[in-house]
Amino acid sequence: MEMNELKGLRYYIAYAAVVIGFFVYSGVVGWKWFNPTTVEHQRTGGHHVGRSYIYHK
Amino acid sequence: MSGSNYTITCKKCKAENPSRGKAMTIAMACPTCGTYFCVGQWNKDLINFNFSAEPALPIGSKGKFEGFVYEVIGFAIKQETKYHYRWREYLIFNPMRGYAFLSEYNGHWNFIWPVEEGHRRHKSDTDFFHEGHHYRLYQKYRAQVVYARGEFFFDIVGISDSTVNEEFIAPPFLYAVERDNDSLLWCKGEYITRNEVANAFAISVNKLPHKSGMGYTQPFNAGFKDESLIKFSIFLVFILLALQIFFVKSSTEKVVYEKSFYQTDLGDQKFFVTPTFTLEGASESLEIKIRAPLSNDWLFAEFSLINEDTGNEYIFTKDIEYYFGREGGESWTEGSNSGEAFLSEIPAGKYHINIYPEFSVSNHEFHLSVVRDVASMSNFFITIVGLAIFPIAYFIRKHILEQRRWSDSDYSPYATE
Repeated sequence: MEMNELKGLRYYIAYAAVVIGFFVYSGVVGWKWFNPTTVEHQRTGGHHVGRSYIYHK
Repeated sequence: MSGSNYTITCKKCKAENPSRGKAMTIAMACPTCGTYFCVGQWNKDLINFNFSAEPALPIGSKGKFEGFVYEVIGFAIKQETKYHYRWREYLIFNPMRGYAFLSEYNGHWNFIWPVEEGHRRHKSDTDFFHEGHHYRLYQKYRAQVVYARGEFFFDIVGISDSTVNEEFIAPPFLYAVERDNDSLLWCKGEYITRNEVANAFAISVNKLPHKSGMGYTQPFNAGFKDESLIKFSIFLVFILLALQIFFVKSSTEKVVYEKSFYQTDLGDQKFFVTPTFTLEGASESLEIKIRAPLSNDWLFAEFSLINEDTGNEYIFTKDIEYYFGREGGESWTEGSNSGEAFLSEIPAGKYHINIYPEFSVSNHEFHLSVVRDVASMSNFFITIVGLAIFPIAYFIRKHILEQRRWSDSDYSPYATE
């Protein structure tokens, strides 16, 4: 492919680089984009509060 | 050419008009009375046009194209005889290159010059190939001159009345053919932008007619060829496939905990607590698989994954149901005996899971597996779709613009019966 063609495709190349970069990052950290599992993240800092604490009672 | 002492006498008002074309001028529209006449001994009618118009490029103005300076010698407005649309033509002249035309319609310009017929590989009456381009017949028409000003090297009114014109296009190029009983004239043209015309004549682009719609030779100039886009897209798919294969092959899918749970083991507790297990590596995925011997039944559980070092909790639910039956002689099933919950970006550390199950009347057990570092396939397919958006949008837009280009043609390949 000639340089002129690559120049013409520069926006697509930039877009593809972002999308594939995102894909690689997700693969490395184990991030599923559209996850059917809804996860609630509670940061307790070592203190057990919330649902699990109630059940511990 | 300008400032010449050569004059041509108007056959109507007898005014002595300076001539730019000198002996080459065959016809003229008198600047004094506006009468169009043919120079010399030709017994042609004198023509007075019914209206007047100002050319965007004045007679005598000069413009530079490909290093050559052309002077505007004549201006004509032509009208097609069937649909009555009008366009403007400027006869321009350079002593070295000869004459050419600037043709303008709806603000779109073409630079047109006469050529030898040349060798064209004809596919049919409406198609031919030349110099690697496929030319298609765009329009076949007769035209008449409704207004003229300046000088012409041929009887522009007489020729327009007697010839049939055909135009073949391979944007940005065109071939125009003028034919009558005795002669055949081929011209080649190329689309030029409004800005290029303004720059050539060193005038403000606002002095030129505004663009409207799609020019029939206006190129769909994306800066790249269709083949290059397709090749690059295929290349991206292969890159993505290689990356996905790498992620799948390198994922460990290590079972860090596995156990079967029975309702009878709960006692007076409302939840199960798993022993501590260790998640190694960096931030990675975690998949919780749950399986139960369901028979037209269901199982629901709430889970709390607890990091014993930080106290962070990841709370999620999972329900599975499996039903089956027979209706009208045919068996059916719905749901599954197993299900998975996917947790993204779980850091390394020591964890345990609190499980809060809800058992049904007939099911009293389930099996749990906790798997570390599981590759996701859905990201791969979503990325493919995301990458396909650009080429799909490009080809759809190109198709729409091509339809628009051919909408004024009687020979449109997009015409429906």
